[in-house]
Amino acid sequence: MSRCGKTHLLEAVVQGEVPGDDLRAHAAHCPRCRHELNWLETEQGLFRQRAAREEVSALWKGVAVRTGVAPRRSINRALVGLAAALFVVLGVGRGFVEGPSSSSGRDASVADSVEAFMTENAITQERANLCSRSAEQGIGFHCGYVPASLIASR
Amino acid sequence: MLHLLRRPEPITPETPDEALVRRAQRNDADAFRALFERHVTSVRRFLRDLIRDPDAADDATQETFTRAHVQLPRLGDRDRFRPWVFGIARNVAFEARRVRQHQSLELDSDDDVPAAVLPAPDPERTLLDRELEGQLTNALGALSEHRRAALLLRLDHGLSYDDIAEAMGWTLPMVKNEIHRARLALRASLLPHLGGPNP
Repeated sequence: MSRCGKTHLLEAVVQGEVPGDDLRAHAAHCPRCRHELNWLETEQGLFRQRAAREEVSALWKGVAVRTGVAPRRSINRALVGLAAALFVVLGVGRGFVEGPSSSSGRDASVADSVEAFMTENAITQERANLCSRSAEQGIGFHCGYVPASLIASR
Repeated sequence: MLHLLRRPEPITPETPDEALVRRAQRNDADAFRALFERHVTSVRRFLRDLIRDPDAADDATQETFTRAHVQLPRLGDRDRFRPWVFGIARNVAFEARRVRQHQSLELDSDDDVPAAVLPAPDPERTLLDRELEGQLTNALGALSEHRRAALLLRLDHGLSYDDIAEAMGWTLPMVKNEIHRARLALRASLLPHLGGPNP
């Protein structure tokens, strides 16, 4: 079989690295190139058929364990963290954080503030009544707090 | 802060390796998983052909991608992931073989290369049945590990000669010479088992 200067180019054609219509046409009439092309295509066919039988689905688990890599979950963790931070900072969840026993009217939520205001008024009214009765009986120790209205009435 | 809120681009089969590597270097686990799934089949087959033990090849595959994950931040040419990971696989395989069998890793002499031009088979009539696959495995196994690795990177995994030189740590002329000799030896081994010569 005589040598041909184009034979060595065929491998790149079969690998798809260069277009090869001209070379394939040449190989149809060149015994040396046709011989090489047949071998190259046979090799490619064998390895492609072999590659199609590969099964590797179980290997990721081992890599994930070794590297500590875990794919992202369906909900973005950063978004969840940011939402949680906003929840706390904006005070929406303050009742959960401080609990229902908060006594500061300024810091309480709106609902807590209303309730504290009404409770304080009820206590004040009760104290006023108690002091009023105590004063009438000559007993003053109940009147740590004496309403201005009672003083004015004296 | 805002990049945490931005949803990453979806990964598709068209997403280039370079983009996946860039994301994986920023600890994007999905990107690394995509790189794994894209290349694991080839890498595993390459390792199985080198080590010739399926269980050891599986372990070597996992070790290859574990090392790739560790070394990925140092990969500068992000579009060179494929030859780079094959280079890691080749090192892992040779280490595994060295441990297992303490075999010499010397290159083949030229004595095993057939000098005569072999008749060519007909590619249309070549079907890889179980017997021929066994012959192919044996023919590959008859090559030295280095020569086999270079041949497989070219024939089976389609790496360019430049990429193979990088993966093997060889010069380009050495790659061409080794693959040429490996190819001739492979053909000589396979010829008796292939379909009749092409007319």
